[in-house]
Amino acid sequence: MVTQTEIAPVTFQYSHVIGRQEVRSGNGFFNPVAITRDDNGLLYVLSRGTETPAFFPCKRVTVFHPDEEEVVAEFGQKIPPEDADDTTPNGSFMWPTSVALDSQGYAYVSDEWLNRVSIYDQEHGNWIGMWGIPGDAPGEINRPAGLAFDRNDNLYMVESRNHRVSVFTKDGKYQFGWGGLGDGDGQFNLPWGIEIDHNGDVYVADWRNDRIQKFAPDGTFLMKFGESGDGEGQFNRPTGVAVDKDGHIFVTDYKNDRVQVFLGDGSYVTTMRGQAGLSKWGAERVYLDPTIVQARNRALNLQEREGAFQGPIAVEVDDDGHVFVLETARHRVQVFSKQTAMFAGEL
Amino acid sequence: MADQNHDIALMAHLMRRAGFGAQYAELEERAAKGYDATVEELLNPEVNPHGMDLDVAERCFIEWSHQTRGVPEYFAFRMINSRCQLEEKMVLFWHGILCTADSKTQSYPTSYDEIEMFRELGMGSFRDLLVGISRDPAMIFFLDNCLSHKGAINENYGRELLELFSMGVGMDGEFNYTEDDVKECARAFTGWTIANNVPGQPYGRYHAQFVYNPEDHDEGTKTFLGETGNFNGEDVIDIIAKQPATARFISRHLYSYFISDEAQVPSWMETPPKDPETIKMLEDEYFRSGYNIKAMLRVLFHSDAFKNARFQRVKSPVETVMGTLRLVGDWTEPKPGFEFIFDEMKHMGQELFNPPSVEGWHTGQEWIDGGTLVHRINFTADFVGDVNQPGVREIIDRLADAGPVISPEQMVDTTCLLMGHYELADETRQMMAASLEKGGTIHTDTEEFGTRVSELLQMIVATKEYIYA
Repeated sequence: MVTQTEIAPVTFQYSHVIGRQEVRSGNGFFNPVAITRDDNGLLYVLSRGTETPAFFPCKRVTVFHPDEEEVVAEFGQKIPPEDADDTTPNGSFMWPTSVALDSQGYAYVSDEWLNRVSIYDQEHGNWIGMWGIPGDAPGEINRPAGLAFDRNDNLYMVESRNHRVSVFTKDGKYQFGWGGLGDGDGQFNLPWGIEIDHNGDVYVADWRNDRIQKFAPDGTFLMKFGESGDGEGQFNRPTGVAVDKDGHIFVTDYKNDRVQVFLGDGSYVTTMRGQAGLSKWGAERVYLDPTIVQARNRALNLQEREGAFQGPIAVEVDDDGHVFVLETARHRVQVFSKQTAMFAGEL
Repeated sequence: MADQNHDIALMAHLMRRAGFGAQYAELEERAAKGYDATVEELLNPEVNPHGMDLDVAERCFIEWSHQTRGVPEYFAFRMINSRCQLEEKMVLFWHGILCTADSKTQSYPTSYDEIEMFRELGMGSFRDLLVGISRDPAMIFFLDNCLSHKGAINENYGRELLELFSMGVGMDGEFNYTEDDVKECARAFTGWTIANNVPGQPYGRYHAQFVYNPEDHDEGTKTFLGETGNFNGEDVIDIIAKQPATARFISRHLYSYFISDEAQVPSWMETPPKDPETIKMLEDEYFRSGYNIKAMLRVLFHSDAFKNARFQRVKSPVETVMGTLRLVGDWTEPKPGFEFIFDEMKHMGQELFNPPSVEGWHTGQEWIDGGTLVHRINFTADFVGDVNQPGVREIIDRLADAGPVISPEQMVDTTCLLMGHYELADETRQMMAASLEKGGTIHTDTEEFGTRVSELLQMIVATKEYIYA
């Protein structure tokens, strides 16, 4: 008789990498900061770009299929910094932070400089509206960061400078919120990413407190884990969090250049450090220029240096065990498949 | 009151030279703490926190966090906001002497590593700093030491190490080294190279890495500056560090940067120091302290030559821009548009990370020509003319504390004090007072007062006196 009393081990098999540095439109990203996926498996990656005028227009949302690695849509536009004020044109970004999809497939993009949420349709990414009133009163927003919809199309928004989570209807009507500056349970210090799991519970990357906090859908504190450092279960500015159907929690440990995986109770499981090779879009660029090919062939420790995560900033999962890790400094998404041990026979 | 004014004036001088200037409130705070204590705080950045929320800045300017882009802007942001002003000022000092240029190296991550090396070693042993710059991947690429091989040397780095980084061509009319010394120096540095780096396509630039390749190092006997042995790079640096010419070279650079504009470096062999006594004092401290830059700076800041050298140096473009931004209190927080600030320094003649040559920037009067002067004045006038800037607002409020009415002379004099104890020529002062007089009685409790102050500030920054630090 086979018996199994221990937790089944879990590992992650590197699948492939998508992306390249692409300052304008096309097959790549430029300092991407957020990732989400729709019901059809399409990934949405939000590029923040840079301030350098030579690269205008450089910011956008790129929609693509993660298997075929084909861009199917792009939307959003960059504005020059001098125009980032009350007159900013509809649909444009200055400092975009997050993208989330409602049940209809409409995309909502937060902008932490303009303090607003812009909405785009699902067909062509046309701008269809926006909302957001700057301030610190309930219902006002200050530096919106992570966004996540629940099953009822309520939009949970992390407000980094108000150190709280605010919940809105998708057209911007304030529902409720919680938080405040501090390091106590339910308090935050410049929070960033947010995730809602299959049960509707809410996870927040409490960035400057170097921890993850979990809440019930109404904001009731449930648990926390993590502390400052670079050891197992410690963080240096966690930015993103995702929870898969098995309850595994994935955290982008941004300044430690790694992703840590935890069980549902917050206990440490493993660390992912990245294994990227040459992406399809990257190969398109590299093989245009024989000198780049030669340089790659000569490079010392190419596999190790190129493969490692650099600035993992957001993570997404699907129900098929795929994990998508977005790296802002390397302008790409590394894709992994979760492998869980299968035991034969009677347990 | 006179003592207090003297203390604040001296503190303003110290902060302009050992930093990038300070607002009046900080000068008062530091003056109350004392000159000696402030010097020690500036000299010891390792125990005094820089006071910046760098993690927040890196979160806003996302490309700063892994140094893939925006490295010059990141450097400038730290100059504006670091409490450790001397640390940043010394990074700029070495950046202008141990020069590399991004136009050739084309790798901001690697340039960032060089700046961090200056931050770590810039106030320590000069010998260690020379080792650091010799191992610096940006320098190895910039001056072609990666092309220098056993049996086929490239003299570029060996030459500049002697000529521009440590000893200078000569002093007191005599050459400091020979062409043979250059060749032997280059031989000693064979094998000091960089790893083949991961190319910037398709995922962006990577930090370059130093590699010592013993198989490419010339193990033969060398004779360098009169000493003979199987020298490697560090042995050569040990010999360089103990030369009187090295003490002179570093002392003159420190004098020119912190006290008073010296002649341009290429003329130092024939042109004696303008202040031999102070240079001798710095040279002595160089040897006494074991080549320690911090110890030399301590002597320098406590010297009469330094304390009496107010407004004897032309501000560099970086000092002009950073000083103005610190005066008005702008860019204390990240916000869009920082690229503009970086471009302003470039238009004034100083593009960070792109000095005109390995010789660095020529300083003093050479900063000023018709075009750069117009840029300087326009930039500073735009910023001090903005009454919404917190530093300008502070000057307005402090002037208003004088009472409901202020005389033109009092307004000119007090404004100069609040800007950091600037001293105007009497004729200029009278001209400004007369200009204010024409506008009628100056009431400090009106909305118009702010505008009148900002106009006066704009006149002051357009004077010859404001060009100097």
